[in-house]
Amino acid sequence: MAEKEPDQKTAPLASSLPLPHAIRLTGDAHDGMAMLSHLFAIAAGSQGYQIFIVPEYPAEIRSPANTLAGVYTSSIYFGPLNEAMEDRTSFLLAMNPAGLKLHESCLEKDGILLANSDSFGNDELICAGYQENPLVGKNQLFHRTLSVPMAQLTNRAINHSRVGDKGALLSFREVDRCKNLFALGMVLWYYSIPIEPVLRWLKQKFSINPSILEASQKAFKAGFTYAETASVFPQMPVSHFANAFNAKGKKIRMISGNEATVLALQHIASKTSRTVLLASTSRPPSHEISSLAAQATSAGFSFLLADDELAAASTALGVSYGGGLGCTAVSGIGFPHQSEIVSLATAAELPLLILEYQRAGISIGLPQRLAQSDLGMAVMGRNGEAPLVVLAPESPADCFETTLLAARIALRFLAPVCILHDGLNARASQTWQIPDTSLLKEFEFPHFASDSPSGPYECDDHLARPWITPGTPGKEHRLGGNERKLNSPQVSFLPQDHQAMNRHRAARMQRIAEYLGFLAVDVPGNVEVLVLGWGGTRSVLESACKRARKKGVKVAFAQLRWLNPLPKNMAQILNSSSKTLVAELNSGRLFAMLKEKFEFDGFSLTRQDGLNFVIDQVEETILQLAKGEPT
Amino acid sequence: MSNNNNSIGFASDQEVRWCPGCGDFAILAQVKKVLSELPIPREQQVFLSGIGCASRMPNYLNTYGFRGLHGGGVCAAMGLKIARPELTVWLILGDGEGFGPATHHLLHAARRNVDVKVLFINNEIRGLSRGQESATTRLGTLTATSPEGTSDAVWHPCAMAIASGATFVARSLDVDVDHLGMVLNRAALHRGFAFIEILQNCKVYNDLVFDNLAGQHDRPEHLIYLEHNKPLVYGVQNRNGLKFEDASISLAPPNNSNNHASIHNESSPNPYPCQMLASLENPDFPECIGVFRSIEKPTHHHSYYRGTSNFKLDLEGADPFFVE
Amino acid sequence: MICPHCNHGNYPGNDSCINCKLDLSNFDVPAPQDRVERSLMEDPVGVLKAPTPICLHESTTVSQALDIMLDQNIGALLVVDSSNKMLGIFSERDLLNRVLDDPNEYPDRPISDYMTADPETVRSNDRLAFVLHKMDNGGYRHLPVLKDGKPIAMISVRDMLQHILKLCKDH
Repeated sequence: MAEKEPDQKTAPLASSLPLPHAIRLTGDAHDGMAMLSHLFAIAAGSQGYQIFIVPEYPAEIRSPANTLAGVYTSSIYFGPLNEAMEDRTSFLLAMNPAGLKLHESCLEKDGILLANSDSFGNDELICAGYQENPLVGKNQLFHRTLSVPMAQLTNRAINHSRVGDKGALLSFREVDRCKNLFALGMVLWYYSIPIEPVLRWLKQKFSINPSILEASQKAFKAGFTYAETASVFPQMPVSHFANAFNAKGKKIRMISGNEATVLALQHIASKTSRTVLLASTSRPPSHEISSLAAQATSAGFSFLLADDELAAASTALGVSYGGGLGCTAVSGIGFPHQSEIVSLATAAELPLLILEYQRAGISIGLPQRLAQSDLGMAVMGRNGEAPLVVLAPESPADCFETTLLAARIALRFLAPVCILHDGLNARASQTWQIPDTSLLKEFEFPHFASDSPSGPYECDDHLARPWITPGTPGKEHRLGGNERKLNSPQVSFLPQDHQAMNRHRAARMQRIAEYLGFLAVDVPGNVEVLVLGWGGTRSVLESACKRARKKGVKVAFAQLRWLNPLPKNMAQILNSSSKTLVAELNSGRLFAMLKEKFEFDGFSLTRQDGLNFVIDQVEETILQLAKGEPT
Repeated sequence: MSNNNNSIGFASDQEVRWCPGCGDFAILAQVKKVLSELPIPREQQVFLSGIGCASRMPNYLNTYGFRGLHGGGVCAAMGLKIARPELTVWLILGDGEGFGPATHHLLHAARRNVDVKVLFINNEIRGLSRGQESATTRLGTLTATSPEGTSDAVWHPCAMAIASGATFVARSLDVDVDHLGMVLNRAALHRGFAFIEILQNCKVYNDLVFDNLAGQHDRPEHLIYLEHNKPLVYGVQNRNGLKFEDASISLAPPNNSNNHASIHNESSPNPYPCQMLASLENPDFPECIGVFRSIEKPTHHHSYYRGTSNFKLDLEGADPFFVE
Repeated sequence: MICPHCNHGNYPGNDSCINCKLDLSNFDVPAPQDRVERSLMEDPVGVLKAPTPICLHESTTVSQALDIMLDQNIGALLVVDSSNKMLGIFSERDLLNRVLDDPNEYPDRPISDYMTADPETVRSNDRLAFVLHKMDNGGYRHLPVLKDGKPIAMISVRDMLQHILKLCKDH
């Protein structure tokens, strides 16, 4: 077993916590947890810290209050993504017993539990499955528990000054809703993060509603002051353990992967002046990007809720046929539905973006759970040999870059491209420096001069055909799904033509591999173990590598940002170390793909229970591999 | 702009491959003729199709074409009109594909009033795959997959189209070339979802299935030519007629006065009379050809939601902040 | 829906406000139109300032209980065990329906034989509308308010009526 950070127990808490640090904020969905974590991120982000938030949504929609199914949790990590992750947390805010129940196992024994004692009444405890109150008495779970009657204190803070005035400032509910700001005040004091950004935010958002603004400010300041005067624990300044990134004066925002993807699509529409359409269905979890896209439409960027996934993909293909960029967001069983349209786009050589949000389980499975379940489907899942370019973003902000890259490939090569999202890169959010989009590269298209005699399938040096769209005079032609002659739209079922076309499509994938180039991997010489991952697990895997390195193991990490075609230097990467550990949240699809093509001494680390990797376990596996023990 | 507007100019360089005697030849000829008469340049015409015998048609037309949209053709038309509203988009569907993989896409497209002209070429059999029954194959027909005759009820394509909100619905016959040309022309000029069922004879697998309508000798006794604002009369000297009464349709007693029959109104806001007309079957009733329904409604590519989002603002999000 | 805190126009069904992240999931209930509705929908039971209930031990005899009810001029009382946990309610209804069924024996029998066991209850932070709905559904005139299983107040339909009348009068 991995050693359990031996210095943790003896070290004084106020000064030298280990660098990765996680906070968990948990409570009922109605407790305003989303606002709380967002504001915490803004306050900490304004100090220059990189923040990474992984939300955990309630298991059920609109579940009853105070039940386990209604818990909303935000895990907040400090620092650059590749070293920020932490399995356990040393600070847990529990707004109700149900939240505590779900996350008590993640809090360090010496960690601080801040709880809203007002919601730890008998009924709420029973709802969460506690026999006795875990905050006080002999059943107290954590010896560093701070039990604060937040609802009462909030009420007093807001209404105290108005005693004798004409009744309460706000209704009972409105007051009660401010208790999340009270909690925020306490958390910010504990981490000694200045409160001004939050006050500014409140002023900006609630200026339209002066009584809410006043109440929010009072509750927030009261929380901060209360923590200062009543807290028995020392402060734990963020500056002690997280590196600020060098962004003084830079404009920052919080961004989720879904938001980043929609922004990228908007950027493509404005930069290329072509119609960009996202067509999708209501299938969770890709429905999230649908509603974001619907709110971001403009003259160039449209959204369409299609009637099923086949309709979505067909509509998108229609847009691409007309000279735009058709995109479709899909998840779960919707993806195989679209397989025939992907195949048709490959045959007709038209661009298409498929934003595939992977979810766990077969059939309708577990719609809200995490998995990297669809790599096999994305790479292989078509009739015949229809290769599909497959990319995977590594983080929420990387969804922006990856979507642009996907569009560049789709538009340059007139090919369908699939982006594999997962719960960690699409739903999580992080601090993001707002880019200057005028500096981004222009989009390239296959060469086509309208006065040239070239036909619709005569390829250029990238093996891409000219994109002649309907409406171009004198260039009338017919595309289709039937096999054809090389460099010609002429349908042909001749054996040699079919062979030539299969070779052509494979060669085009090679050109795309050339276009993508080398995968940059930071592999110092003499590496014992190389960890290979893809998708949103990067933060966890790389954090594990860093920890193992501290223990003296020579370990390197490589993130596969594109999975089909594989990087040109894949063989070199695999041979750069004596052992390779391929980690993925499925049964080992990437591992199998690599084993089929390359000779290397590899091991597969998989997880298939709908959850993310645990750093301890990954680290343990690395240590064992380095020692040469069987895993 | 290509102004080579005669029907020969609309032929592509491909050799036409249908069975000898196939009704598709006549349809292709009429399509070319209508295209050559339209005030729309050739490069603005796009023919989409899926699979099946009739779906080869785009290959034989020297316009833009896209084949192999198996069932999704009508959705692709919707996308194409969003990207390129100026194009005239046609979709060729057979009864096998149209009432197979394309069914619900077709109904939704009608509901959304997608601006596409659907040629629903109905021969009541799946010909390309060698003679299996489709959803329009008459009860009791012997086919490759129903050796004792089909046992399932049929769909009436035009009635389905009217029920799902199509704004232009018509029926014509492959052999009645003038009528077919007239219907195609009207469809081409219609703005919105135009659905044209063309009864087409499959010489090989379902020959003479429309003989009661297409046969020359007793055609008038079985067939009503629908005309807007004209009475629903048929037969020798228009002695027979149809009458709408309450919520049903009945045969009017034969006479010569011409006022015993109801008047056909293709633009009525009430779709039910047209729907009843579209469901009539021989031998109890005459069958109708012509335009059942033609109404004006905003088309999908005009009315779908386009916001006024500002990318520069969206990029910054609801609450950007500065690092202090 | 319009976010009640920041006035941002959100799409219907959004779980949280796009602008300020306020949780909106419990707002898709009807909005109050006037101060009476507002009070009913938003105020907790506590605003009624209902009196602490008369609680009798389960072994109290019926005749004793009736004396107390007449004495205090109340229509219902609560029955508790020795740790003050509520066992049931004894109301005028129970008197009519159960006690009068055996007129000869009742005076010396314990009240627990005639009470309605495990009655519907509410908690002090439940909204008035919730209470009113419970009263209406069950046809109750009295509802005990419990905290951790122990009665802390008794709401009668009269308390509710007075509260509403006061709101109307103040207006």
